Amino acid sequence: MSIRRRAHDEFLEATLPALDLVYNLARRLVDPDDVEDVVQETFTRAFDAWSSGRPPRKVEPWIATICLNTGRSLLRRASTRREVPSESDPTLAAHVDVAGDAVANVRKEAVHAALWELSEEQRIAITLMDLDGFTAAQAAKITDSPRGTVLARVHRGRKKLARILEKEVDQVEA
Amino acid sequence: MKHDPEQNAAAYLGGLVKGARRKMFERHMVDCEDCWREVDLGRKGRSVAEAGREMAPQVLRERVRAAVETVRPSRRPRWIVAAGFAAIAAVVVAVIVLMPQAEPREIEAVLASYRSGNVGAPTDPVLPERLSELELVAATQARLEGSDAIAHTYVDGSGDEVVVYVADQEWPVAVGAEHDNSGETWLVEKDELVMICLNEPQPSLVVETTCTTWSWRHTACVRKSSRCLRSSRSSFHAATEGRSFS
Repeated sequence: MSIRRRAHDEFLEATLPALDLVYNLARRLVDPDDVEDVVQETFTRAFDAWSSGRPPRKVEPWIATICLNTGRSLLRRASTRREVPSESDPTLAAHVDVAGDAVANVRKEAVHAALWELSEEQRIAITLMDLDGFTAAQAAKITDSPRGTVLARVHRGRKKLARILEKEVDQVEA
Repeated sequence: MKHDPEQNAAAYLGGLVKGARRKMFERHMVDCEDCWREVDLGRKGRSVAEAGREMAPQVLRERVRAAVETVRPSRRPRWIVAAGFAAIAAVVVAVIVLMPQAEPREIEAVLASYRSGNVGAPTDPVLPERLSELELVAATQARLEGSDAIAHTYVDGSGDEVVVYVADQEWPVAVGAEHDNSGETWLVEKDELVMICLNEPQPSLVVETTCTTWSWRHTACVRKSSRCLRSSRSSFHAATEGRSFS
């Protein structure tokens, strides 16, 4: 196996398990049409850094930070308007957790739409902690914000989500 | 704990309230309708958010794999190339323009003390036991060449260590240090260590490590430490008044 091949394989083996995490973050950061581009660019940027001798100590927060920067620079470049997607994302059907589970799919779409009713800061904080599973300390480092600020954003965002999705809350709890 | 139901619930659900304070808050919640409602709503919101977690489509996984495989890996780490150019540039500049600047011996002594990890005799701290999220774990006499200081070792929530050296004389400015806008604080990086200095209200030198993804950690470190120290000014005055460092 060539050195070049090994570098790609090592990188993909270490980082592809974080694909869902990056995808969830990108989905709450940019328009549906840009999500896949942001995910792809995140991984190619990450590989560039990795192969330049800058591999991270911990992959997940590192790649989440790259994703956040990639998404934000795309937003700045394109001055993209961010709003709740008016039509169903054509890729949605492919990423249902359980194939054919239409109820779960509807619920995820409702949560996704509700997340876009929050401020960007609340949406990103909730995505990092509740969808991607980062601790408050990690989310604070990724967003370069004090931990107390992150927790306040998450808490206010969660309250708003719970109010928007009262019926969903009942279903989740049932 | 200040009675702010929203703040209390955010801290409680975020795991910041621990031990006896956690039990105390849980007892308080039973009687306090506002705190109970805040925590309940926060938990419900968390459940509903977690239910929105999605999996990346398989086609995207394949697309990412294919895209990465088309990127040529750097044959030589960029930092080596950059370091090579930087070294040449530094030599040229030094030869043509400048004589090398010497690091003040107090700064050298602190760096050596921090790196060696040698601790002196335990002593009473002159700083508070908590500086925001930092918790004091040790206070020792740091016998530095040319000056004495008290080394306060703090840990943050993620277990990272921050040492604050408090002296009775102003710290000299390290070579290459940058001052903030106020001019009261300076910051410098030395071989994966960050030093932040505040000479007011008490000459204090904060030393901590950077990490690989240092660009954002670095900023957080500066803000955290400056904020901690600034917010503790009154405590500094109260705690250090009349103390001797010998």
